[in-house]
Amino acid sequence: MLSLVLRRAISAIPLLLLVSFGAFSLVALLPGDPAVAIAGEGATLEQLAEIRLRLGLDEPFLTRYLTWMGDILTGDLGSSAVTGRSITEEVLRRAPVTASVAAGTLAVVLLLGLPTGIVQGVFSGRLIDRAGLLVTAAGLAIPNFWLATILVSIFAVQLRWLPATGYTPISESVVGWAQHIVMPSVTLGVFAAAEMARQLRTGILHATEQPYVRTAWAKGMPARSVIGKHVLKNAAAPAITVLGIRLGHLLSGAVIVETIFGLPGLGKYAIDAILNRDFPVIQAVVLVSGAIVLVANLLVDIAYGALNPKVKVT
Amino acid sequence: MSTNLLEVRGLTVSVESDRPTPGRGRREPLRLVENVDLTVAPGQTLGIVGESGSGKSISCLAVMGLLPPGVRVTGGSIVFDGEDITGATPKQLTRIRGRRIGMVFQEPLSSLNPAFTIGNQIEESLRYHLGMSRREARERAIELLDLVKIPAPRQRARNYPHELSGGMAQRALIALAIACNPQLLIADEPTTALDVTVQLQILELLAELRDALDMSLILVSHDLGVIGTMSERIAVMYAGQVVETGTVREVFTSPQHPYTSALIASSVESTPKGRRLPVIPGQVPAATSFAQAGCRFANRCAHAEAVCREASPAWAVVGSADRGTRCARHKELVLPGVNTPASVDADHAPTAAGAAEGTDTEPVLIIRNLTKHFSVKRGLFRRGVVHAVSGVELTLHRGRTLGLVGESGSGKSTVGRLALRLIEPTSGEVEFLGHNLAALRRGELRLRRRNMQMVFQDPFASLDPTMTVGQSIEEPLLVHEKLTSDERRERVATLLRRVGLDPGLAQRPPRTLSGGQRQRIAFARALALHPQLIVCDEPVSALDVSTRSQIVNLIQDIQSTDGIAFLFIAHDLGLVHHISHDIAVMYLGRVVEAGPAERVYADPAHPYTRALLASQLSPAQAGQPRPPAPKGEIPSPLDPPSGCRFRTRCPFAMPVCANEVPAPVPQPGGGWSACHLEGGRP
Amino acid sequence: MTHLVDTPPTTEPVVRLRGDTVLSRLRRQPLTMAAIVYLAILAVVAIGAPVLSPFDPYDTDLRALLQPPSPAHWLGTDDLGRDVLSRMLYASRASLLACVQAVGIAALVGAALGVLSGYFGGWIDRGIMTLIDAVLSVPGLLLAMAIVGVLGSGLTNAMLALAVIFVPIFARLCRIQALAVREEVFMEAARAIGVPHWRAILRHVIPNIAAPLLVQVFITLGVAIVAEGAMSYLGLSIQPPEASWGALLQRAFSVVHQAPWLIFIPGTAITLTVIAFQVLGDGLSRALVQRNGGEHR
Repeated sequence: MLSLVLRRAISAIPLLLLVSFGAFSLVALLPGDPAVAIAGEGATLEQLAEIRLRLGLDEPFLTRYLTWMGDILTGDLGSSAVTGRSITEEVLRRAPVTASVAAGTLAVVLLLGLPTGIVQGVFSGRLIDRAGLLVTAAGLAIPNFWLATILVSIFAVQLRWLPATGYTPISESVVGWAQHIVMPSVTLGVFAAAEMARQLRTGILHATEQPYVRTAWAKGMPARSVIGKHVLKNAAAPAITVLGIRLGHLLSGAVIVETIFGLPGLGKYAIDAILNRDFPVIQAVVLVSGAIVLVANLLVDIAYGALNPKVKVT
Repeated sequence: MSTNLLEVRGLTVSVESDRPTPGRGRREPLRLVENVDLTVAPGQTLGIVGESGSGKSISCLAVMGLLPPGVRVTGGSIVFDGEDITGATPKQLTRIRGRRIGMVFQEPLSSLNPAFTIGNQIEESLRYHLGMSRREARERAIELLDLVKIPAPRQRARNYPHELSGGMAQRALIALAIACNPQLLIADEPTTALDVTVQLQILELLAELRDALDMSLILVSHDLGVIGTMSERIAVMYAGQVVETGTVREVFTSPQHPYTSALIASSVESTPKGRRLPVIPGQVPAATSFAQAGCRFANRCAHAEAVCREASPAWAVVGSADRGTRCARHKELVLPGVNTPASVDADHAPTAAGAAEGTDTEPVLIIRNLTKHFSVKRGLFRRGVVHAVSGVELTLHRGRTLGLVGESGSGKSTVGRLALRLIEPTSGEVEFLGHNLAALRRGELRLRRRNMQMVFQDPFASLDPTMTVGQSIEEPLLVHEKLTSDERRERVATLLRRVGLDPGLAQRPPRTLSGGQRQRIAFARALALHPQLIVCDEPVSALDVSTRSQIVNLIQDIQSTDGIAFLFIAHDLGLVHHISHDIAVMYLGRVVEAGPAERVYADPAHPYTRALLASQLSPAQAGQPRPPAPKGEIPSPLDPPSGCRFRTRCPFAMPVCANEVPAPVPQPGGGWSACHLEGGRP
Repeated sequence: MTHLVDTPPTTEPVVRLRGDTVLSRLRRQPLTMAAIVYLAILAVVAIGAPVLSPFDPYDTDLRALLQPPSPAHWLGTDDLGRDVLSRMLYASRASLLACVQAVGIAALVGAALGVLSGYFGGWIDRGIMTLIDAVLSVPGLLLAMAIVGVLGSGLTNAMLALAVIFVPIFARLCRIQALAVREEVFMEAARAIGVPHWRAILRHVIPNIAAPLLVQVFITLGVAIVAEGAMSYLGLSIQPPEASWGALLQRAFSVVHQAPWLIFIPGTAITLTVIAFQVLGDGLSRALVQRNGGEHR
């Protein structure tokens, strides 16, 4: 088991380096002068020179990259080209908001996706399965940005049950926090729940066809044992890995929901930086999200190994 | 009142069909099994024999209520121990399955849940059916594993299925099936996926358990030899129907149905070497093409007449109530059985393998001291070495067939690929037509490939599904020769005729053709460039028994007309003996015995060859006393025993066997045997 | 005369069922056929937008702001009095064009990388896959937005960014498929014949991966529609006064208090198109599996 963890961790390092290099050299893609892009067309030469100095744009590429990496390893993600504030501070300040959305989404996924998937898998072919297929198809097809607008339109504008925008930290008011989190969580959670349901259903169907399930029936085991024990344990592993993979999509989705619902989280930070051509922030965001995804993949691998004995030994 | 333990009467099993079939309406249920009667008395063993599509497995699944979704019993009754279980509810079934009827399936490794230990899986059954506590169940599970002769049962109980070999897994499954002391055990092809030497062990185990636990046994197989060895009574199935029943002795010595007779004749041991195998023309029908009126075997039967095709033959009792046949003409026909000497007729024309024993032609392929090691990953930092082939020496002469026989891990397939340099040897030489293959550069090697070709085991996988038959056959011509497309078409047509197929098949995609047809196409492709050598890697193992003879005869015909040398790789010693001039027997990467086919088969020297021969089961040996099965399992090629690799299973092992690799000892009658015993033989 | 013909051809009837080809199997799936029809209509509408649209999409009419659907304007007007139907027709053009180009480029590049990687293995495989894995480590849409953030907003840049994040999908798929094909017995047979690598790839590998590749193209088109929609919603893709569906949705949301129906028009279009691509991909996959004799879920 330990060797599995070590091996995966070691193979993630070159990836992380590549991601950091890619994030950093994104700016090199830019045709023209980054300083001009930041400052705008009508900037004076002095303003441009000042930006160049601040961002160290005059130095050779490799030096800048190494300096940047060095800073990052000490926890300094740099400072914004637009506001000059520390990126690390902003990230830490905004992280709890995005984490709240993530937690809410996870809750939606588990509450909606798990039972749907299991019921569909067990009763496959029957009416409830077909209905479930339609529902999950809808969940997978409806774009999250549209769903967000519909939710706002119904629950905020028409019914006035929930606030359309804004955020309350949980430390201030649990009810307020929940009110602000519910719609963003549902927006992101519906797609992931539909995916989880599909994955579970396929996993259960696939496991049910296996010869060892036939053996379980031949042993005379009752249905609850065959399905609850034999089938589910084998179907659970791939379904759980879906959760980990979804984390990346969650980060992308955070951009959309935080924009629509006005939540001051990492996603909003990212889109503002993108619209303002704030390159240091863009670089930092790419790097941080890449690191989060790699860690999530590692955790998923560990979980898979714990559930699937075959993988442990190889 | 019948005293039978199991009585199946008029069983009909159908499946919903959503494909329109010719001559029938849409969505009419397809009958997979029709009007089947089976009986098993307490303590008795019934063997059910049939090829693919015969319905033998479906009938057993129906008894257990384990039919796959969409497949249902649509007629007849199943009475077990006096109780009608035909329409049993799931709750009733859980009281019967595992508790009173146990079942063992074909693929042992995938029939065990990979997420639980085997001990756990046995305990589950004990605790549910017999109400044992956790501790009691654990102890009993270990006892059961010991009963099925798994060594170190206490440790094994904590293993996961993927840590077991095929033979071990099958034993574990048997332990599972008998855990609650059932009255009846159904074994569906329990040994088909196992090595031949292990097969006999498992069959012996089943026989022992049957006697010790006073169980009835239903044994399902396509192999007449297996059935004959184990069963008292036999039911022969074809195309979803039972065509003959009786005691094994009755059915084997005087079969009453042409299919039974043809099956017996098809088994390789029935035909003397040097004669063509009798062939059942055509192929086994699929359920969608079962004849609805008339005898289903009529289109392949040598004795079919008008009466057979007009009306479906009724079941006719012959002698006692248990003996019967579904042949309309059985009273007029006298059909050959196991003891009938093969008559000399057109079907048994002499072949190349029988002739020219002494003619010495020049060697086509010389293999010297060939070794192949594969490096594999074991864990994070360790590497293991698979000793696939070690120090093999072989010679193959022009126009002759060398049979290479061995079980899994013997390295025989690897030798075949090394001979063609499809993989690189670790050391040693392969000399083909006088040229050292390893010394050739890539361009030259490609040129030489014209002269050596290969036919593979799986006819369904060896043809590219995106190419038509004609395109597959002409590919060698495209690569090596410059012909116009008309010329190529001509050649393809000639080749198809050569292997006995209609040239019109050239436009077809391979998925519309049967296994036997595809294998012929593989031969046509191999013959395209007029090679001197064809390596056949298990060319008939994946085919139905009735189709095998066709391909075997084809190989012999090709050899007699074209003088091609064949390297014939197989695990069936009888088959290899029939088709080859010379035989080399391999075990764990080494050749342990070699010599003329007749000598090796009639008078084997090496203890392993003897064990292999003893494990061959043929219908002719049914009911006769047999030598005990060889002990143990084949060791892993990752860690082969030192010295003589067979010593861990050899009844004659001596201390020297562990220290030195045995040298070849010449044998009277030709060839040699690599054994430390005096004279190379016990 | 030696016997070579054991089996007179006539005793082996090969049942050739009516409807054994992929197309006829597809025809038997009503849902898939509906999807094909919808997409065909959409394509016609997108190509023929200049001819079909009743109004000029940039024509503002400040006297008829936010009108609900009426005989004059079938889908009503937007917040600048522009005809929504015409805007939608032109927007479908932009959305579809961008997605088809992005997915097309990604499929070509990704397939080439994947096939080379899977067929040759070794360090080629490791190198390509490490790059692919690195790209996959950053969440897709976020990376696309970051690329647009660097290059600047606009339809071409958005399309390029999408192509970049879709390449790994195709590369991974084609690699796995190529690996599987490489292990097939008929590939070993081809090597035994002496078939050179280039012919093996072109004649054996690519035809055998074409089917799953096509299925993936359709599925990815569905993903692309949503992704492009999200990007244009956030203002990163096509710039006003031109619009694609996402941008129309964003404008509609900004006036959701006054005209709550407006958000349903572009939203429905996106959703229906995504469903159509999914259904088509799924149906095609099923038809192919059945044709090859397998069972499909």
